[in-house]
Amino acid sequence: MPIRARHVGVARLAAALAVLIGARAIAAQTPLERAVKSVYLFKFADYVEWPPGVDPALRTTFNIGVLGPDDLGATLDEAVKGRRVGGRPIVVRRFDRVAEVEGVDVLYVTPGAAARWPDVLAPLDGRPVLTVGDRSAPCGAIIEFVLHENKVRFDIDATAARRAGLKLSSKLMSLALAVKDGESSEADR
Amino acid sequence: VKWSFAALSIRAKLMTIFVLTTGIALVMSGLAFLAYDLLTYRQQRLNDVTSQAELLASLSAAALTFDDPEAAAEYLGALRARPRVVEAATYQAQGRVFATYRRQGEPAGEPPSVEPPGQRVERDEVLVFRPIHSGSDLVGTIFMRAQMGIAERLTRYLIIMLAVFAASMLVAVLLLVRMQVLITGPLLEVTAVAHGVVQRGDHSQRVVKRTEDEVGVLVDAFNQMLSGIEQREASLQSEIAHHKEARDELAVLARELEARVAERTAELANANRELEAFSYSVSHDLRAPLRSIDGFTHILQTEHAEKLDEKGKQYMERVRAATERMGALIDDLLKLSRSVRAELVRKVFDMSSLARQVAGELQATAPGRDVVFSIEPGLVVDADPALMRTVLENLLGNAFKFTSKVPRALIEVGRVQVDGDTAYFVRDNGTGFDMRYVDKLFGAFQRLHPAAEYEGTGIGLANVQRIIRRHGGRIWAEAEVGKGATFTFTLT
Repeated sequence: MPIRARHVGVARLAAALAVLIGARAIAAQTPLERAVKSVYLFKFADYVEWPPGVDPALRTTFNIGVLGPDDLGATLDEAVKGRRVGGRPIVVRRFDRVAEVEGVDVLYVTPGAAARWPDVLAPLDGRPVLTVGDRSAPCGAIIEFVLHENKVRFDIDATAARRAGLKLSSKLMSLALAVKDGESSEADR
Repeated sequence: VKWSFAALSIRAKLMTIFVLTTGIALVMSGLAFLAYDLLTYRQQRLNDVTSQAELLASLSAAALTFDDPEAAAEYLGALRARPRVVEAATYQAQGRVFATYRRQGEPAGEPPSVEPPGQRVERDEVLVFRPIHSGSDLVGTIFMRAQMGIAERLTRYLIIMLAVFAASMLVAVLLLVRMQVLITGPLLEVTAVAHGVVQRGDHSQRVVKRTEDEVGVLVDAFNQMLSGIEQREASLQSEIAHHKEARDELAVLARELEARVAERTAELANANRELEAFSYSVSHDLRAPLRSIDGFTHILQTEHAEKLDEKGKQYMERVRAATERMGALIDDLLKLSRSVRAELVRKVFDMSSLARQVAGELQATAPGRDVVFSIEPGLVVDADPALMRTVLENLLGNAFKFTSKVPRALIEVGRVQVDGDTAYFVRDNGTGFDMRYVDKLFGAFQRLHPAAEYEGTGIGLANVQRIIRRHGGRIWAEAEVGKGATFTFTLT
């Protein structure tokens, strides 16, 4: 029964998170961070609506792209194993260069890649890709992870999302530490 | 005093029925509506709470997914707008409490440990557990405890129902007070006229018919009855008047008759008195010349006998005998009138001894005769002794006289019972008489036998009958020629 299997997976993941939080990991990209971010990358998908009529190749699988050297590695592979988004199995693809990025629903720009190419996301502008980055290494992604009070939180750039043609759920927006919309930047948390 | 519906007036009966009917209808419909409402309300509350929980679950899904208990608590905090919700909580998938909410004023406390999805009602509170999904993943559970508010709603409902009930009753009673006149009014009119009939006997009144219903029929029947009674009464009155007239006429006639009778009686009494006075004075006046005749013929016989020849002496003898007879006749007449006029002095005495005295006197007058007297002893009577002597003298005298030609004369005096009355008789075995002439027996101056054969004046039995009648009794005779006679009389 796939549903039960998923439940077990989530429970296992959450147990791991709890252990890691208890360890008070504070360094960048600690194992905890990696684990949480790996899960969040496909969990965001539940609160994001992609525009219809995109590449047919994207319909059969849910594709997560990771750009940069310091990818989430085995943690991400482990996290997505057996998971589905909207009934589609998740496929993780890793890219070294932004030009290679093709056919992804979510693209995580690692701090390393962001630091190397400050304007790395410019070629993707206007394409329906949920870009995710880190506030510590800003690259203009729609969602940026923030480490806040030992927890992984995020900011949202609503303008960027609109440009990408994505609709972000208000539930997700309400969980954001800060929402950037147009010229105004609202820090509501 | 025992309450009785039957004793109530129609007005009160109508009122009771109306109030009862209205009240029962109101209460029944109220209860039915209440039951329906409470069931509906309960289901609605359950649905409300469940849908609130669902909504919160959907809202909290992201917070649970992205591990944001503050956001979850904030969502739960929205329940402040729902004061019936006492407490709420979200749990993580493995059951740990993630966020809680408690209504302001509630004592602090931990939410219950997580339960499988479901809902139940405990003491007017509903408890709901719903799963929280994010996408297709179960990310947690939401719990909510809210007041059902059934008791509160019931109270409010009952108050409203009571108010409606009171208002309806008031309106109903007011309506009835106005409308019952339509029913009781005509009835009260009939009742009033009926009272008049019963108390004053006034049958001339009529009830005005105002309705065409049963009361209208009653009014018609009542009026017809009154007409009938009135007619019968009138005919009865005229009949009574007729009767009275007839009775009055009869009374007048009776009075006239009485007056005439009294008049005749007075005339008769007067005539009687005059007759008696006449006979008395005649007897008296007759005595004087008779005495002269007797006296002078006696002187002629004694002092002038030598001057008379044998024939003269014989004639003188016959004059003397005639004079004697006439004297006896006058004596009897006087006795007769005396027996009528003398006052009756009753006394209880022995009639047997009186009869023996008289018998002795009779035997002394004819010592040569062989007559046997058989007198029953102890014949005690209540009568006038002097008059009874006259009676016995006559009856025994007659018997003595009419047995003079019988060789063995027997005269009996005794007592017999006749028709329950005591009667006395005097019987002889003498000549007797022909019963054909019995009617003439007691008339004055009536004689059944020639004077030459038996001497007598013919007054004696008339006198006896008078005396017996004055005593309130009667006398009758039975006889056969040659075999004797019996005279029987009663005394009362």
